[in-house]
Amino acid sequence: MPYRLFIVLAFICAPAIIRAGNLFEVSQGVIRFYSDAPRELIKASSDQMQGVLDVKKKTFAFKVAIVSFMGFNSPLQQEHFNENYMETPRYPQASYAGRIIEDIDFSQDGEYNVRAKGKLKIHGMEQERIVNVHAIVRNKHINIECDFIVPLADHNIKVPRLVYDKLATEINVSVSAILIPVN
Amino acid sequence: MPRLLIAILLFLSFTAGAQEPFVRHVWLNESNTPVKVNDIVQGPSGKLWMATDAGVYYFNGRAFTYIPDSIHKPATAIYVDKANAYVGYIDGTIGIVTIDDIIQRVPVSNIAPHSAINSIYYDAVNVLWVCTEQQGVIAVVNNIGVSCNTSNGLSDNFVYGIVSYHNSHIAAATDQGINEITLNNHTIRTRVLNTESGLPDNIIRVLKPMPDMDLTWVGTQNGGPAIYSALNRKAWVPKLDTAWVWGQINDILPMQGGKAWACTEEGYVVELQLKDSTSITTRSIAVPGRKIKKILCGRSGIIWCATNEGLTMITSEYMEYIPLATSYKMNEMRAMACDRQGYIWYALENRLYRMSLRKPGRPSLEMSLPVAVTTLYVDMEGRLWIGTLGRGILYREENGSVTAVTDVPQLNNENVLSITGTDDRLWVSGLNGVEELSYPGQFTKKISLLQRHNKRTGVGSDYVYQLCADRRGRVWMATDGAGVCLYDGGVYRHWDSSSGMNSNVIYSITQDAEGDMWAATLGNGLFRYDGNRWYQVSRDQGLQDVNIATVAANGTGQVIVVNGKGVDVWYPKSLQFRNYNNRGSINIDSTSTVLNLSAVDNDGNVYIPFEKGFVVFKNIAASYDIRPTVAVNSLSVFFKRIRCGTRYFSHDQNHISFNFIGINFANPDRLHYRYKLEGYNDGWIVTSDEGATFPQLPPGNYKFRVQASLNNTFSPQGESVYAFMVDKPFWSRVWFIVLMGLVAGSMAYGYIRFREENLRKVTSLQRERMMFEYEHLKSQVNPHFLFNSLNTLTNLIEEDSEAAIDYTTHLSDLYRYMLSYRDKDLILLKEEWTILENYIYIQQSRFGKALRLNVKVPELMMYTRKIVPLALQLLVENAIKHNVVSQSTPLTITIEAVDDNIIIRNPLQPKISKEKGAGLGLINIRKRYSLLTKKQITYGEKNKEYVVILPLL
Repeated sequence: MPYRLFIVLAFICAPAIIRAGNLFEVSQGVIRFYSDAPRELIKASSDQMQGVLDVKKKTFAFKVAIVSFMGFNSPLQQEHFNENYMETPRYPQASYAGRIIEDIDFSQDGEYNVRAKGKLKIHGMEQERIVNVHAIVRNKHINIECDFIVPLADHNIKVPRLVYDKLATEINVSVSAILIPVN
Repeated sequence: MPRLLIAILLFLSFTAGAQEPFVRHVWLNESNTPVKVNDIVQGPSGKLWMATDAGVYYFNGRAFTYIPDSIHKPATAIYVDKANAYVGYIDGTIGIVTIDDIIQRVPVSNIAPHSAINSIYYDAVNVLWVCTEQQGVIAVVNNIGVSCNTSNGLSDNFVYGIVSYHNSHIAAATDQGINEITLNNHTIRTRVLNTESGLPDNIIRVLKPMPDMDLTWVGTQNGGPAIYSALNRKAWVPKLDTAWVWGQINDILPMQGGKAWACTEEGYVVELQLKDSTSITTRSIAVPGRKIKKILCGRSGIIWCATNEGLTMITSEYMEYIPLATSYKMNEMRAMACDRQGYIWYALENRLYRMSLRKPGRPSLEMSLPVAVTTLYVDMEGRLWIGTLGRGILYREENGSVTAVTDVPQLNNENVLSITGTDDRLWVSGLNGVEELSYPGQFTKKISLLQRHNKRTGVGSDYVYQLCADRRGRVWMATDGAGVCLYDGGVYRHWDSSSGMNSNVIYSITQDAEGDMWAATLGNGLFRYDGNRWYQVSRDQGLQDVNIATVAANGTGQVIVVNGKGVDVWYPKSLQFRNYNNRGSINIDSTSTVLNLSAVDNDGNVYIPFEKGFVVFKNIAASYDIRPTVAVNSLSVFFKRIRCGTRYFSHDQNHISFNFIGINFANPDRLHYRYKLEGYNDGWIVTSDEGATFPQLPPGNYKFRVQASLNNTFSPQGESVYAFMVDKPFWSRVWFIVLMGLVAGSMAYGYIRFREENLRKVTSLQRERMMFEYEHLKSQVNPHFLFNSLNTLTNLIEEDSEAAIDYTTHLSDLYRYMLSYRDKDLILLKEEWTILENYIYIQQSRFGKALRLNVKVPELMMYTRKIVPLALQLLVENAIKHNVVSQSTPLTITIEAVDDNIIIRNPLQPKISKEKGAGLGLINIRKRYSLLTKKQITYGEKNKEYVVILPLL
């Protein structure tokens, strides 16, 4: 009986906890990537990034739908990207979830360099990654920016020999997002 | 072809500059596709064990062997010791490698790991420590897991590894600093060291204790290396000579003397040298394109890197090279030497170059002489002595001033071959013998000739190719035609073909770090002098070629031999050469054929020129061993694989094959073996196969012994021994033989007993019969019977002479029958009946109607059944004897045959006086029956009748 009571209480109190301002969510976010191969430069970006950050627990989870990446050189390129490399129908999302290593008080305005450590899941393959993040906290808005590299081999993304010089083995990814408190 | 498995990529980037190791990538599979190696460890037999994304492998230097498992997940951690090999997987599964090289799952109850295992370690008290990504540290004892995590006070649940210290505390490397864990009275106490305690970063990726100091290396994610003292429970960052720019440290390999190798995610191997525990000097080696996960140093000195694509081997511990982009070929130089200030000097024709060894770079041209330079020597004062072709010698002081030696006229036109120095003498050899000179006077700079040594004075030859001053101040001369000559305080000693050396022409002579002399001959290889005699050291010990150009020794006992096929390095502990050539191992070719071309620097490192630079044979403080080892891998009975470790074979499992694997990383292509089976054959069999089969082994105890070699030096070091027994078949085992003996004995005994019993029976039967006959005859000649019979006869003669004749006939018939059947065991019932009829006739003649006989015996039985003779007669006689027979009380005797018996009965009408000898007849009949059959006779009183039942046979 006390256990059930606890669950009921937790449900009632949960919104209050959220309102207490521990949770931030992505209001605007852009993920860009580019592949700098000898014979082809591929660029694309997505603004469909979603995610939350718990500044108290210092945990986070972000995701993006692969199909939302736009801005390829040609529709054919986008088709190859989704069908051949990313196998988007099978693995529709990429995600990164984990925690912040540094003990930073995000309620204080300022600029911070923190490390995010977690599982980066692309193409269905998880890799433990540490990403350096530059965070600016101003007026209860958290602005985050980071760059990292995704080696294709780490995520079992196979590149046919024919297009080997059209696709880099390591893809540069940059993320910038504004997080606001969840109301 | 196992060698095909190893594809070699040699990074010889000729950017003039720093000293570099030879780096070789080794792929795990034939297709050269990357396999991510997460952990690497060297097992007790020398095999390299790897935990990879594709499972577990081991490597013997030639080929990779996959260890099958049923887990099918990336292996992330591995631990191997003498008795156990444990594997950790990405999903938290723990595997154990069985003796048959198969991985089995280790079940864990209570708290089982379910997140990726970062490291695994089995300690001396049988605790398996498992460091996980989400559950902290799990200690497994007897398959029960106990965890230490944030609920016990750990600062973070992501644990990379642990170190246990003698003072019973454990340090764990976590994402939130170093956790010191102490176990006191079953309570876990933790203390955290982090950036506030002096660490450069909170993510502690590795902790590795130094082998010879009470300090531990700390590797961090973005703060480089640091030091942790388990004794003082504190951590600090020593001052680095340069900012840490090589990225996330993944592993650290601690060496002796504060040295360590750190490897990074960004593809660097960084040599760290700790000085006074407060500062670190660094030197980086780039391994482009590789993320180096783990690093270890093998027994032969190779540094092995576990990378995201496979393995990478680095030669830094024993050999490096200095690539030089010169317009000339470096192997065309004529002479070289190292000075005290850290420069290497070398001469090409008449040009003298110098290069700093501390900061190797483009060599500078220091001098151009009018004639070609032939030899260089640096004395203890730092003077560089220069020998020339036809113009004698000159010298260069450390301050740069150059002086030609003109004080000694004999030298002025000399073709100098070699120069050396003792404490106060300079020795110069040429084509006119050896000149013993004084060093230049302090003020006068004058050099004087002290003595000449040549063919006439006792050297035996005027041509001396090389001079070598040993540590006792004696001078050794390599002569052309007179062997080795030692000049020792006025006395010449000689060794040539007449005293153990195969040649009189000696090109090179050198003293090694242990004090032994090494001499190279013209075409007859190398000789080593241990102070007593010269020993040939040649192809048997792995020398590649007997045409030797240069012999040099480093500071720790290694001897470097440059020959026609490459370079060989003598490993004194292993007593053999490590080979370098342009095939197989490290790609060194184009070494010089110029005689005696090498230089040793102040640290004892040896420099040998090759076409595009110098090869540096390092003065190794650690003693590496290049001898191969061998391990028995599997065994089969009749070609069917059985459990490795089986020691007992039955007599019909006597076709046994062994498979073994040699392990060597120095020169694996030269691996071959010899084996013998002690108890079967005492001779060694040399083979290059990795297996041996013994068909039809007779029963016995055996010891299979196999040794590996890279040349012709086999030694018990590193051998593998497998003892086993083939049992005797059960029929030749002791217990069976004893049992068979017992059985045969008891059978013989039984037979003898049986026979004896039979004989006894027969004799007793005979005796009984004789007794009976006697008794019977006695009874028949009973005077009563005769008297009665004769009385009856007398009466009959008077009354009826016809009947008397009849009576007499019956009486004589009775006696005749009794006599004729007495010695028979059995007679037909009919025969017995005839006797009885005669007897009855006689008795009825006497008793008349007082004796009646009632007979119910079927006629058929008379001729088919048998009976002991005279039994019926005796029983009837008994009945008459014991009962009243008179007219008033007649006696009726009934005889009837029923089934298998004949029954004789009569009503009881006993006489008042008993006749003598009563009862003997019945006992006699019973005895006779018992000798013939198991059927019993019965007799006794029943319903006022006396009944006797005799069995019919």
